[in-house]
Amino acid sequence: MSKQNVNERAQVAALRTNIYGLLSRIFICEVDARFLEELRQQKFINTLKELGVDLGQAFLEQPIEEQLEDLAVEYTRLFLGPGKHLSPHESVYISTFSGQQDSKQGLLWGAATVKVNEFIEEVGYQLAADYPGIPDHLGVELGLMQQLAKREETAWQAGDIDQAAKLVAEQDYFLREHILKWVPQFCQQVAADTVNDFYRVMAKLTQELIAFDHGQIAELAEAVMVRPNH
Amino acid sequence: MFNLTRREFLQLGAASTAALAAGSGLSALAQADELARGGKDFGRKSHKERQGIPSVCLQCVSGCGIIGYVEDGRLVKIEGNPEHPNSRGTICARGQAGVNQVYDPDRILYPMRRVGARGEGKWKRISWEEALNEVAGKMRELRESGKPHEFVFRYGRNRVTDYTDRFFDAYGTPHRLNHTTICEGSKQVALQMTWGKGRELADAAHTKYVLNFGCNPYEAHTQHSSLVQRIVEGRVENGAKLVTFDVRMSNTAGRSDEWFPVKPGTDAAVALAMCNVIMEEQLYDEKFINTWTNVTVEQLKQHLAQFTPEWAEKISGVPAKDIARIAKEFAGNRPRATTLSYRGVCAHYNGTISERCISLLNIIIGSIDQKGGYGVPKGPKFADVKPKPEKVKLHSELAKPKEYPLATHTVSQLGLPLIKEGREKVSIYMTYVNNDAYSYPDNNLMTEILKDEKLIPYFVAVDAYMGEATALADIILPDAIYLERTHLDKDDPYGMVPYIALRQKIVAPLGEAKSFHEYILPELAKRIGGGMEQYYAYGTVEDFMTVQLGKTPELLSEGGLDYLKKHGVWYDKTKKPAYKAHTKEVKPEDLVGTTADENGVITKLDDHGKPVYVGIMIEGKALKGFSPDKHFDTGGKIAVYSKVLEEKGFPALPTYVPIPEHQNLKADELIMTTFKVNVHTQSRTANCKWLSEIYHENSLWMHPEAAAKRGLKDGDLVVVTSKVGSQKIKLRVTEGIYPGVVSFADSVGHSAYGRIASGKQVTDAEDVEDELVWWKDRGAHLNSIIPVTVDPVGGNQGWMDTVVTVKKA
Repeated sequence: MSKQNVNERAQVAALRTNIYGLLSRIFICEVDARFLEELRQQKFINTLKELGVDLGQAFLEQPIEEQLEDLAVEYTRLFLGPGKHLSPHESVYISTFSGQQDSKQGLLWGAATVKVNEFIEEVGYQLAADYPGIPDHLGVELGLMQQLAKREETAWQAGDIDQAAKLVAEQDYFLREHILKWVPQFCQQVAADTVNDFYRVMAKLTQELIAFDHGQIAELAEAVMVRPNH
Repeated sequence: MFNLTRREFLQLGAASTAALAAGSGLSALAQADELARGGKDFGRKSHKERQGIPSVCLQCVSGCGIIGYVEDGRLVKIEGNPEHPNSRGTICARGQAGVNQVYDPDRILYPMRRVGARGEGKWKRISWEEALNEVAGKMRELRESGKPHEFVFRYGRNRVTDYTDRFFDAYGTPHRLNHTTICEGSKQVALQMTWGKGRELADAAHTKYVLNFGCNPYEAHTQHSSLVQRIVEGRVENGAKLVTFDVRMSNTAGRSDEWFPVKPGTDAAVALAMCNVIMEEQLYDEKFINTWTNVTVEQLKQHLAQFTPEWAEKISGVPAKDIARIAKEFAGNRPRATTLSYRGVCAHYNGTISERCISLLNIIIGSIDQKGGYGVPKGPKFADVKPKPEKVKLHSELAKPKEYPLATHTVSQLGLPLIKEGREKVSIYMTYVNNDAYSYPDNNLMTEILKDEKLIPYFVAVDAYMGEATALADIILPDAIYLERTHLDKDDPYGMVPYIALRQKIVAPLGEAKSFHEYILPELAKRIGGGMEQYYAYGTVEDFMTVQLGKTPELLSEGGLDYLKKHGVWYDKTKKPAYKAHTKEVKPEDLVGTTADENGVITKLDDHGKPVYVGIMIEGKALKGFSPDKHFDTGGKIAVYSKVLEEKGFPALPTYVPIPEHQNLKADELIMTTFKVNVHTQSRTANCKWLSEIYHENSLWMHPEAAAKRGLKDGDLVVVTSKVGSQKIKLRVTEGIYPGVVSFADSVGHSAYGRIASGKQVTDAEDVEDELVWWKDRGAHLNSIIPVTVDPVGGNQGWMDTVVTVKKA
């Protein structure tokens, strides 16, 4: 593999790290003042525009405090309840109770959650002690992709091609076996349900980005020829 | 919508750097600390041994012993704890489905503040710090302005009253409304004023005859699986006979040797006629009556003579010859014969007086606290944790309305209506595992009152689920459920030896849920201050429990709390079942400093100079007798003749009181009763998927004759109308019900309580499917057409008294 190739791969991994970081941040908890300020940066808005995404003038003009409140209330309504909400957990969407051939349960902490948690630990992470959520929360799953991409970047930079290939394979696996199994449906539901432009756009963007990324990561995995043992 | 290409994708990646640099939000992932700690193994492909943690169930109030199995931090299974002396390893479907309570996708996992109008459903997550400061701030302000009595605490399933009483005594409010009178309040009052204890403990395992009035232990009971397994044991081992009087063919009725459909609210007439037969036929226990009751055989005979089987047949519909036959059979097995009775008797306008008639059957045959008889509950005692605040002496018109001086378990169904009436001013209303807007009669009225911010300016709900009432709160504090918290538990022992159990944390509270007694109350107390904090100097809940166990040296010698953590329950295995406790002699050392009055009642003065019951002189001996309840002076004997009742203008001797609404019913009117099914508990289990998959749709039971008269057939949708409203429900035509009665099961028909209970889609968006709840029909909840009614003695809601008409919808 040429040096140029390796550098380019490191760069792509770095940019993918950023994307997953952004998406994870959107879903992990409410938007806070610092994050909102960054989201309202012209550069970011312009990039979104190039993607065909317009958050609208209102997004830039609404007073910060009011916007934070609106976003927090909508985040609560969409993802936390109480009452009707879209639980952002893999288990609620796909999990059976035993992980075997039984019917889908739609409950928290199902067999899928255990699998996600196992995977997190296998790749060398664990839930932060002060994180109150559940391992298969959308924000955690996207955050894991961010971490793996970050490591991949480091591996490319260090010229450790085997390690980089292993990390690509892990991302490929996690996307296929977890994220793609439920996040597209979840994002569609969020986009259909939300009354807030920001969350509608971000849900659609998330859906598109993970589908796109899966294409590119699968290609890369093929190219570096490491198949995971999962 | 997107023109996503590799270039744009990467551009977004570049643009996102800034947003990331903000470093805001939560960090969910940390580096695994395997290397730091040196040797934590994350290769988890192998099957590991599951960790089993013994605890106590709380899917209903029975308190069966359970073992929770945890694998990968996930509660995967609950089974019975074989060491538990009451449940002996048996649990019901509800108990097993406790797993679902932890992982309900609609659990409330974070503190929430309402941001829209009350009940609008607009919320914002807040931090615990913010939530506690807000609630404590309002509470402190109220307390400091000298008005702690404008705080109302309303609870449903509360097994931590040791902690809540401490908190609200320290705070200074007398308004503590429990839920006993929408359950069994009148039964408790009846028994307390008769023999000092609020419940009986039928020794079913050793009995030869069970006479069951309106109780359904095969499906539901306050000690469900502990009792029903002993009834079965009694029937198999001793050939005991089970005879059931019930308006409906319950599973218990179906499994009985004989079932008699009885007109609602007339069980007392049947019981009195049986008492009369027993007296007439000389089948009574003369010595017991003359020694241990406050009436004589002659007085009783004279009083009961009016209640002939023929008279009872006219009132109840039960054939006179069967009444006489069963009375003789029952008394013929004395003392190994007992009654059972529950809401079929006590949830009526005449509940208290009727319950006394049922207990009289046991008294006259002398089966009281005999092996195989009608036992006296024997619970353990816990030591006080000091310093303990003084009981609040202020009167509460909400908990003890003046019209009901004998209703010592509050009149909880009147709580909100009396607030509406203005009986007490309310500034803060706090609920704990409570659902006024579903569980109470006339729940539309309850909802209306809860919504009214003039009547209830601030509403705090401590709850794990979005119940119909919690949906109306201003702030929600997410509660750790029974599988996530730790405290001592006790109940009446069927082994007739007191036991102590430990409800302990099996899994950590999910999300940011916190335990009410372990976290929320102490944190509020600290923040309210003003002296409240001194009552929380005890340390942790473990320290609290250790002090509580101080009265049980036998347990302490076996390891105390450590023993309980390992086994989940303890009882003194060297003790034999204690029958006939009333005949035990008072220990000489306990007689020091006592005096006996002219009736032989032995008392001793306490530290405040108040006489405290010690025992009673019987034939020259100081015996323990029947220790009176704190509210009713029964004088050490069984008060068949109740002075208390007489003083308040009620019949002093057990008698039949007709239910006013049931007299002169019109031709098209029916009496509506309610019942429970074997997989649900009141308002609190419909969110359990495994249970709602089994039972989610109820129906209105109606006799074929009644249906034919109205031109109705099985499966019809009907409208049921009472004086407070109308409701639709599906009809079930069955001979398993008294012809003039219709009946429905509670627990389903939720309009809230999450997607599984309510069946509501997870969002309002039309194109969002939720296929995980496969059943479509959720049944109906008819509490909205049941008017608030009160047993004038014990205060029970008259659930079984509603007069309705039924028409095709």
